[in-house]
Parts: sequence; structure tokens; C-alpha cells
Amino acid sequence: MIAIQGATFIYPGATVPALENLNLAIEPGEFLAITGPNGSGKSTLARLLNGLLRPLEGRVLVDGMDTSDDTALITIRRRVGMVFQDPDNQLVAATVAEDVAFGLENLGLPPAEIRKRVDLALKSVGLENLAARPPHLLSGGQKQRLALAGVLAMEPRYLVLDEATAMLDPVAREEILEQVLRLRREQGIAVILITHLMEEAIRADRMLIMKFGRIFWQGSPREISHQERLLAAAGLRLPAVIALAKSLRQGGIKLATNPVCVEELARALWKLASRE
Amino acid sequence: MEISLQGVDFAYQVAGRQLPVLYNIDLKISAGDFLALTGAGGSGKSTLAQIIAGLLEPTAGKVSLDGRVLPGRGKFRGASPWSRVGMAFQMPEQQLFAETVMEDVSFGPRNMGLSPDRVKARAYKALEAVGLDPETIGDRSPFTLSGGQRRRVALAGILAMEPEVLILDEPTAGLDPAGQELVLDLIRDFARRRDRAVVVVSHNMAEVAAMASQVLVLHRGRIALQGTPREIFRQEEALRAYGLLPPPLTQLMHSLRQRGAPVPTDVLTLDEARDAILHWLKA
Repeated sequence: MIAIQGATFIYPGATVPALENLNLAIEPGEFLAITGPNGSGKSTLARLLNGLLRPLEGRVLVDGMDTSDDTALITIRRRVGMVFQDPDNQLVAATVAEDVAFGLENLGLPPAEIRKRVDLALKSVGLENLAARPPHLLSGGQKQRLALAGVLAMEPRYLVLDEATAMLDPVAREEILEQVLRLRREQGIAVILITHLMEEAIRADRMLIMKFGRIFWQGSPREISHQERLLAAAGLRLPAVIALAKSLRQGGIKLATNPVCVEELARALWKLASRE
Repeated sequence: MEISLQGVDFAYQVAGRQLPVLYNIDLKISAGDFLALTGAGGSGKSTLAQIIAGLLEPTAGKVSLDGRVLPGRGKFRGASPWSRVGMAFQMPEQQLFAETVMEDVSFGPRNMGLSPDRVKARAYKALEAVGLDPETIGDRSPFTLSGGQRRRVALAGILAMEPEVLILDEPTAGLDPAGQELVLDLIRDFARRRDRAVVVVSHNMAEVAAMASQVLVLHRGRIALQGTPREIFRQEEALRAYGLLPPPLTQLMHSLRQRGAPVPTDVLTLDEARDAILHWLKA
């Protein structure tokens, strides 16, 4: 479990805290989505989870290890993998394969094990054919998949994706999300997804909306997906499908359920049509 | 003004080997056009945008401005025809460098050799065009601003050069919905004048639908589809094969149609989708 206890964080020179007295527990294997407008503190929160930032007050415990304990940091960072929005800052080596191997070499693993993990990680993100290519010649989306491969190769228990799919095309985004969720099912990796997209957040078990460095709302994403006013207050947009469902209701269509995605709305409408 | 590409190929040189990215691209952008370049990651759309902007030179083929074949920007010193074309890279805010917002936005026009008064006037106008108040924000460091504000400062720096063609690579990626809306508004504002043209690289089809008059889909370095947003979104299977998805409402119409509902699949707005569904259910 990752436990954030009364954490406050203020950036140097800032007058307002980026995070204020935050309390949050993330369970192993959980799928948690964190949303909120730019500047609401979600990226700061992400950086607390593996000790990239440490709270000024309060503490963050990863499986019982305190992120302010320097001797535990290496273990903590292996357990909590992070992929950021901008992969350029995360890529270091001359080729794609070397880039994935970089972190593993630092762990002192035997070469055969490194090769196995590199192959597996590249395959899982669909980059196995580009292993010899220099990272700077990859497209934005390919770089992002490479950054993800580098993190997956470390076999983390918690995977934090901070707007990690923002630069991906829709099919690649879906593939990456599917892949991450499959790892979660198979290996019990917890997924912490930081996103502006309600369409993505809606698939999580639990959703958290940040605002002004605090938790503004938390609960089931289905619950909030139809509360337009609450979403607007959090700077989020009503997903197109839900907005359409609402508009159809106002037009006299009696939908039995609250659909949250294309397939659910299509099914509900088709049911209505076949009944009549 | 008109930019035209004829038979353009492009390959990167990697360790003495050619890495082809674009093949035989023919393309014309004229004043009044709003072109969306789309395609899966790695399809070559960012590279193509940089060729249209004169930042990369094609390996083969010709790029011309107003009918004159031109070498790339790098071959010119000082003023060049390319200064009429502005380009915003992905995450342009990462290239902000000056100590204040005003200095950053003034950099381009100053380099064009304008007088200090005109530089200032242009910087003010550009900041206002992106919805920022030059008086309150001009003296601040870009690093004290939010991500969305920084993005708009970077775009103001390009607008201050008063380009006739504006090329933007994923202009809204990574912004929250409010920030995205502001950036789309400023692009629409720019495009309102008939003597201007816009090229947007985007894989967000809902965004493309709302803005572009023409869509060009790239697949593995070649032009795979070309047409109006309606013509493109009708082709759901082809889009999927090229790594793209139509906007959610178009997906819904396709899904209903597959089930047998007689609904159109080329809706672009929520109102169109609603009216089509109401028409079908009440028929």
C-alpha cells in the first residue's frame, strides 16, 4: 500500500502550497484515476509517490517505507514506476533496446535476465521491431511507449502514468491502456492514471478530482460522470457520449440506464428501438 | 500565399543508413485553407509539418512558395520568404527561454529587424490575441505561469511574427479542457481571415472535426485518405486500419448503423447526432 499522510508541499518561491494536508491510501492492485485542472496538484501528487518530491509536512509510505528515508529510495523507485507526459526527459541511451536495458543494468542483473526483460518489455509495448533505432528518431507516441517499456522492465508494483498517453494516437492510447490493465490483472500491478480524459478515467475503480492542492471529490467514476456541474467545477468536460445521452433525454428519449461509453449508449438505444 | 509540395520524399540519415519517413507527397495549401494532418504515431505527420514549414528539406521533390521553388529556411540568412510561415512545435512552451513573457514574445519580431516601438506593439497584440493581458503578465517569468498559460505565451511568440500560414503540431496535447478550449479559440481567430491558412497536426479527431475544412490521413509515410471531415469519418474501418478512431459521436453512429439502424455516419456535432437519433427513433 502507498499511504500519504497529511502531506503538504510548497514549491520553492511559491506562496501557495501545491498540495495541502493530503491524505490518501492506494491499495496494491488498485486502478485509481486522478484528474483535475492544470495546476491542481495532480503531478505534484504523482511525484510524491516515488520520492521524486518529498512532503514538507506529513509523510509518504510505500509498502511501509518512508520516502524521506534515503536508504529506502532505491527500493521505493523500483516499486513505483513513473511515466511522464514528456518522454524526452526520460530517454537516455543510443538505441531503443539500450534505453530499456539502462535501468536494469543499474540493478546489477545478469545479462541473460536483462535481455529477457528488454525483449519482453519492448514486445509488450509493440516496439520490438525498432530495438536498434536511436530514440530521438522515434515519433512522440513511440517515445512514450519506450519510456513505458523502460519502466515495465523494472517490474514495478505500482505504475504511475502522468498524462503518459496525452501524445499518443487514439489506437495506440487504447493499446497502451489495455496493456497496462492486462499487467494489472495478471501481475496485480496497481495503476495510478493521471489524465484529463474522462473517457479514460471512467474505466478506473476509483476516481479522485484534485483542485487547489486538495482532494475535491472522490468516488466511483460512474457516479460523477453524469454530474455536469461537479465536473465543470473541477475543470472537466462532460464526455461527448454522456452529453448526447442527456440531450436525447431532453428530447424525450427514455433511456433506462446511464451509459458512459459509446457501446453502452448504442446498446441502450438499440434496445429502445427494437422494443418499439 | 500558397505552399505546394510536389513528389516530396524524406528520409533521415542514421549511422550512414537512410531511414525513409515520407514517400511521394503532393500537397497544396492556399490562403483560406484549414488543413488537418492526422495519422498514427510514426506515420510521418510531424515530419511533413516541418517540411511544409521549410524546417526540413525534402530528400527528393520540390517545395514552392507562391509558385517559386525554394530551399529550406536554413539556406537563408536574415529575411526570407519563410518568415511568412510560422510553426509551433509539440509542447512549444518547453522552448520558452527569456526572463520575462514580454521578452520571449518580442524575440521573433526583434529578429525580423523591426523598430522597438513596432516590436512592442506586436508583442502586445499577440498576447491579447492569445487571451493574456500584457500589462499584468508581461513582466512575469514564464516559469511562474501555468502549463496552459505557458503554451499560449509560446504561441503568442509565433503570432507576433504575423505569419500568413500557421502550422501547429498537436497544439492542445497535455492541456486541461479549459486550456484546450482557449488554444482552439485562438487558432479559430487566426483562421478567420481569408488571407491566412492553418495546418494542424492532430490525432484528436473531435478537434479536427470542429475546425478543419480538409483532412489528410497519413499512413506509413504516404497520403492514405484525403477529404472533408465528413468524407473521412464515414470510413471508420479505414481509419482504424490507419491507427485512428473517428470522434466518439461518429463511432456511436457507426455502431448503431452496424446494428441495422438507418442513421447517417458522418455527423460532426452533438446536435447533428441527436437530431439523427431522434429522427430514427420517432420514425
